[in-house]
Amino acid sequence: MWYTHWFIPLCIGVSIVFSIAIMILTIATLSFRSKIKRKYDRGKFSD
Amino acid sequence: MTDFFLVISIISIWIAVLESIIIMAGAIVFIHKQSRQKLVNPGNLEDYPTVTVMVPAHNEELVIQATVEHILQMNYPHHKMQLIVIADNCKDHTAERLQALKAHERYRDRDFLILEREGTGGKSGALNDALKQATGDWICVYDADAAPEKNALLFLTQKAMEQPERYGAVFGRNKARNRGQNFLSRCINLELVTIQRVHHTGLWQLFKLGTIPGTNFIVKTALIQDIGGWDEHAITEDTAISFEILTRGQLIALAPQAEAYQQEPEDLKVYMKQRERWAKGNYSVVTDNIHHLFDRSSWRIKLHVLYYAASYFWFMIAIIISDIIFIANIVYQIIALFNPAVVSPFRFEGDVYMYLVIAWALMYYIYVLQINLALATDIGQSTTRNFILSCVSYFTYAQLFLVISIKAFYSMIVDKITGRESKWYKTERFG
Repeated sequence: MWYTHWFIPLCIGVSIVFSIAIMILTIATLSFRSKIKRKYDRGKFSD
Repeated sequence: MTDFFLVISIISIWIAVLESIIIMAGAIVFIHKQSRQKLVNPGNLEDYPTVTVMVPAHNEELVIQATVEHILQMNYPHHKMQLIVIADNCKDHTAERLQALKAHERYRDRDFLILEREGTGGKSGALNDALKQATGDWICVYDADAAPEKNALLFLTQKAMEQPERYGAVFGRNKARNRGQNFLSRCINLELVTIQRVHHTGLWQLFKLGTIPGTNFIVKTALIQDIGGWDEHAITEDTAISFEILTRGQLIALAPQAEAYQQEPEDLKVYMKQRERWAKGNYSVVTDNIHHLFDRSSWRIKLHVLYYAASYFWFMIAIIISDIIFIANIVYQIIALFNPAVVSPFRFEGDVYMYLVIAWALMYYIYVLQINLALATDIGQSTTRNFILSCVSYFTYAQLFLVISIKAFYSMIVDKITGRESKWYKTERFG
């Protein structure tokens, strides 16, 4: 097919870069969440 | 041809994911900085500017008294605050409720004006009439269902005074006060929290870019007069005014501590009508401002136009195409179980289809992650229930966006062809 020889390596590259970025964001989110929980929530919520 | 659509879909989803990653990274930096900052309550309120608070109310007897009381009880010097409530074409007891409140001993000495009008122009028309009576240096707008927190106006003006020459407007955060009512209001709450705590903060942190919401914001009186008031033909007057402010070289700053509660739709029909109006209004604003991409406007305006155009046109089309490919392939696979001779029209070379699935999975993951980052910043909202809801909402609530966008797009095209004037629709309140 006309595009697969360049498009598939591009897909692999982009998927890897995005996965790493999203992993970093996940760690940042979880660490922020645990910090907030420790500081304020104390197991109570207003919902 | 189908391969072309597949490639376009994958690249568009990548751009949507990249946009989300960038905004989320900005939001994390903002949140981190904010968590280290201590709230400063100003000592001398005498230095603060005068503010005219305007509340447009069209048949709002259910909520208007509580709203006005919240505003009058805000922590702001009484002699520096003027309140104008516009009873706009009211056929209920809104005006009588306001008169009763004004006559109350507690509020007798307050600068409180009730403007009864029967003009046209909807919310914009009401605000323009009130603007003629405004005496404050800044205009503050609250919707008739708003419940601002005690220091909301103080935080808005505090932010404005940081750079009074540069900030043309300042906006705060809105929260859903009826968020626990049903599945719909819970989902709206997730959306509201995510937009306010991730998108607004990320865009402000990275690009000093903000958009005025319909309520809980202040704008310089001189600036709004220079703009010529609110556009009475715009369906989403807030987005239209945001572009006007940006084109005058002023910024719309975010004051995250300025919080106000508002009522969200609890009924699907009311919700659909409200969102269709917003989508249609935003389409009009994008088409009216698309020329900024090609003229000498500042990069901030170009980015603003691109952000709206991508969200309302480009990503929507990419999602629709990828949804069609997904669903068609699933249906054909089911049919093939019974009749192997049937072949899907969406068959692709090599592993390309797999990368559409991966791109979609990344988009879904970051969708859930963004919501959960936003929930973590709002005390008491980061619960297991909300986490499950964030996972489920993509397949239910978020898909409504496609239906709304298509309906709004169709309605806008019909308006353009037939010359029909768009109608302003007021969101129904719940008692």
